[in-house]
Amino acid sequence: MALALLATIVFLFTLMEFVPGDPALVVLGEGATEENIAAIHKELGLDDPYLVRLGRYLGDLLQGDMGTSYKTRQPIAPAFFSRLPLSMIIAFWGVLVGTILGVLAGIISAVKQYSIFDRVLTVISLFGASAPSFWLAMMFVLIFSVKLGWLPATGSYSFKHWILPVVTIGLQCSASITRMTRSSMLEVIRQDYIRTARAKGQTEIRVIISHALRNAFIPILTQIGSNINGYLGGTVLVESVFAIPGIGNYVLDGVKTMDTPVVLSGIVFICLMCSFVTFFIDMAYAFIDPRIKATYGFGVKKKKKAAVATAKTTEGGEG
Amino acid sequence: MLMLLSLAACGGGDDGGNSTADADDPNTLKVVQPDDPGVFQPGNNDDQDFNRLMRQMYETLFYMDENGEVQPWLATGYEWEDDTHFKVTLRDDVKFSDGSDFTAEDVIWTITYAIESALPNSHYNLVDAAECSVVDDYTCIIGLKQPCMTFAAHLCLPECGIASKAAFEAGNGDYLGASAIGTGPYKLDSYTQGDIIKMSANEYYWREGEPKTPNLEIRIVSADTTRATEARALSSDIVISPNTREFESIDATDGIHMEYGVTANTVYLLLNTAKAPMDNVKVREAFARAINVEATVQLAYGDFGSPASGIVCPAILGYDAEAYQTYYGAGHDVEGAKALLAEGGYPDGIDLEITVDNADSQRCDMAEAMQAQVLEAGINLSVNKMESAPMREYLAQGSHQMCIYGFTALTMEADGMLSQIQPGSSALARIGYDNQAFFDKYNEGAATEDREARGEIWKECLNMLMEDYTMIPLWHKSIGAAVKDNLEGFFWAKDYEEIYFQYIEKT
Repeated sequence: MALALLATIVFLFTLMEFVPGDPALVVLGEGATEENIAAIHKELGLDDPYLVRLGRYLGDLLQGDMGTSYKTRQPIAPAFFSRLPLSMIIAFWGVLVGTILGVLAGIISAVKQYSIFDRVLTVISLFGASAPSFWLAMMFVLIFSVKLGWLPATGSYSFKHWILPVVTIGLQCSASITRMTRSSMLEVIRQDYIRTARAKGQTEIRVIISHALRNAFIPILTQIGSNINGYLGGTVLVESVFAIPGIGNYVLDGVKTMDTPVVLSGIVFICLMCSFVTFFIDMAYAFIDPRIKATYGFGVKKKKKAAVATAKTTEGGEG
Repeated sequence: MLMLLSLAACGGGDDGGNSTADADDPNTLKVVQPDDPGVFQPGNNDDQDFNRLMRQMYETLFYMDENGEVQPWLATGYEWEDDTHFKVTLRDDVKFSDGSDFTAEDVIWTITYAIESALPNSHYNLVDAAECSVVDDYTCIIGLKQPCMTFAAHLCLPECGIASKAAFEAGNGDYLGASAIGTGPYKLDSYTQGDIIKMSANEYYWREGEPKTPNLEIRIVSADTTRATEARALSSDIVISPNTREFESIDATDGIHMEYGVTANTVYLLLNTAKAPMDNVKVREAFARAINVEATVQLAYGDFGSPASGIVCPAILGYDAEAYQTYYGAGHDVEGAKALLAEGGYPDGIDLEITVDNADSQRCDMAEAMQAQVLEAGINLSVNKMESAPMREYLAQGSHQMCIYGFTALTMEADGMLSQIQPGSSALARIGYDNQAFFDKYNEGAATEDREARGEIWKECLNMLMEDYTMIPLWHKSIGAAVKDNLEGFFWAKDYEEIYFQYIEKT
């Protein structure tokens, strides 16, 4: 993971080298004089060679220093970490809502294949996948804030403020999960062990939840992980419509103003979080599928211990 | 949908720690504006949104009254000791928001610190830090590199707000916290970057009975359509610059209306006289004839603002409608444009390129309108849309043929615009103008104390720019804010699209 992060940092840093534009002109604005431009270049170390700047950036990052914004000349870390919780709330709650809706809709679609429920839910999920998030968000604001006045239009200050952004993301996220759940469930419910479970007299709900869904859940979990990763830094449009100061907009502003340290630190941190999410999703596979658990070696020690204990008991019995 | 309705019904008013005041709270003025200041240090940025906030915390030595004339604010008066030494006397009853006294030392420190730190405050480009001195607690002298008789007008702008030297030292330059101390009507309480700024009344404020509303909450909403929605939802008292296409629907909403202000900003088509084929004056004049300014402006802005009637706005000293008619009065003249192109050596037409900021949809619309208009005259115009940051460098290097850009006559005199296209300024490369007579004339105007005489010199300078077709004025900018009907005391001030929130109260 560390190597992948290092490669990402070097790649991004190099990429930013090729972006045209002088940050000093952005910092100084319309009244920039040649003298001031030179002073800013010196202050920000922009005249140093590429390798010196890369080395300095990596060194600072290793010490936990995310750098200083070119635009505000203030440390990046406080600004970044004040926005991070907001993005995490949107991403996690949105994906949670999307997962609940998507899995339920996917199960119904699969179990009632080709029924009216299946067709309606397929249409809804296609709509969710194709409707742009900013449009969906604007529609919600116009209906629930401007027309009905039930919910605040913008901001992130209370539970009520979170409803519209979370539902917007949830609906969009549910589309992919619905389709994934449906196809995965359809594959599983035709298996012999499902027929066996039914033959054993288990209730339909137990068959669907304990036997079918559990076995169909690996691809759904992968989809959930990729949705979380996508929404962690990629909810810029939703953040804009609801005026939520998340990290997506922060990084985007950095791109617009050539604020390289902000862009680099933002993306590197998002990469780091995505790596952790992917890691936890991988770990979760093991708890769902015993075959994966076995490849990781989980439970092997327990079995060995149990075997030893049984052996000892047997020996004792003989004595 | 069902879930959304249930959630809405269950949602209580359980605000978190970063809560906002209720929209009807009479003690809190709720404002929405487009940009985040990032830091609370006067002079650290040059845009209007930043400066509108700074004005609430830091005050200037002078201000501009409703006629655009300079009046004392923190100062009691000024005099010129000689051409380059500006002596200011200060009020002795002013305190900073931490209770410490405001003195001449703070004034001189603020100016010299900005220069030494290369803060983006272009007004101090004129100042010679070595020639600045404190005479006594309430008198100081600001030395200039060259004469500038409109210097007092520069000092009206919020970028020149005065900060506390002692607070800078005590807070170690933390302009998000302990160092952010000024003499303004409000003091900073809290700041969540990109989100909300909370201020409360400065208890030591020297103007009795102000601010009329004790608390100020400013939220940052960057998307203009979202700001328009916020206005229509009546969630805020003042919403600055909502989407121009939604002004009518805001006006049609009960409880809120639009307040418009005339600015000192004009949007121009800048022609790079140093870049072929725009170095040919006939080509530049032909282009001026080939476009239809009124139709272009109507398309981009509708009835908001007005098509240009002078090279600077009507309220600016130096405005000359007659001269404008002389050079641009022919309007949209396709045959004239063709003839001029032929005279310039392009009888078969010409390929040109216009550069615009792709984040500015109205300017992109204008460029595309021109693209269609000039085709008739044999000009094949390509539109080069660029991101803001690379575009700045592209223009500063003079790589463009023409671009759309705005200049503000900040001093309410033409020199506010002219000073930005003098040698040493990166904006000069936008027109690539190298006319020593023009620079000399500008310097003559800057050294002229008599306002009337100065106005005549500004007209001469502007005539030179028009005669050489260096810039074609397109649109005199207006500004708008959605303001709730129950507010009193709102007005757009003359100095850089500012609002004095201290005068506003809820009724």
